[in-house]
Amino acid sequence: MKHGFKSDRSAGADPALSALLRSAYAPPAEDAYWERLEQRVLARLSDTPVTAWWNVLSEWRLIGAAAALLAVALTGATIVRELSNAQTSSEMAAGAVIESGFSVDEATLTARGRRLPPDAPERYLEPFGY
Amino acid sequence: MTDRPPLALVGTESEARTADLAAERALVLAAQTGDRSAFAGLVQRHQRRAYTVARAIVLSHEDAEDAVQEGFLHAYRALERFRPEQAFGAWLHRIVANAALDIARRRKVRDTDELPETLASPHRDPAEAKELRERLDAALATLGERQRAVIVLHDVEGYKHAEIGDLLGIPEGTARSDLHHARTQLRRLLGNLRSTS
Repeated sequence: MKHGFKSDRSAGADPALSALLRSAYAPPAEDAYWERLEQRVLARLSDTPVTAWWNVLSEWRLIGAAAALLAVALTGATIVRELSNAQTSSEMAAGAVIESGFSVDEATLTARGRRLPPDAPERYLEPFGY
Repeated sequence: MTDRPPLALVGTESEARTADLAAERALVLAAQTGDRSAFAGLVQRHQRRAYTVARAIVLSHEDAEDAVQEGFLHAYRALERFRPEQAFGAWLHRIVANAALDIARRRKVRDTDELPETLASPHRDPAEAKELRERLDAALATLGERQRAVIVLHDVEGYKHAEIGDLLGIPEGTARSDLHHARTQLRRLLGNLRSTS
């Protein structure tokens, strides 16, 4: 016994009573008895599978891995296609601008700011008398 | 001076205990993945202790066997909820104790005449042994199942009050009080035990 008979020394224990109880409650001593009990316990487990959550997960791991690979492949393909489309659009826009023949006058190209009419200060100072 | 064991011996015992715990943990982890032979290893390790716990609670050897089997079955089904950092023995024994308490409640109406025939006795005189056993059975039958369990677990198996409280799901103080009442009751009913034993 793990705890031995140390409790005989505990306060209030009656050694004679403890001895009687001990003899009455002694577990079977034969190894054969315990082997039989073990067999009976294990026989009762025979139709009781352990269904731990990680067991359930392990059954799905191949399907999960395949699904993850497929998802990665689809995402990669989508990204590549979008990048390719974006590049084509830029090239087409640039080409359209070059090929349009749109002319810009020299004054517009060289202007630095907004131009005001020469009489603007007088008009602003005397708007009613101008 | 105290009679302490040499330090080297203490170290060896400690190492053996650590190795034992590691082996048990490995068995638990393997059993949790469905390894039945690992669970068989746990049954081997714990069935005797489980029996003594159950036997302390129920009134007969047969009921104790049933409680042990029920307990192991419940433990097997609940293995996924067991956290390996816990002490497996304590967890299992609590389950066995609950199974035993359940059986004891179902058997409450049993007549004391049907009580254990498998009890051993240290007395050489069969008539004396029989008489003592009958008196003890009758006295134990007057105790509540909890009081009986507490006195057997404490005075026979050497469990501490707190451990008994954990096993039976009662406060330590209740275990202490049950022990006191059980001892008083048995002493009253078996008053002349010393003269006959």
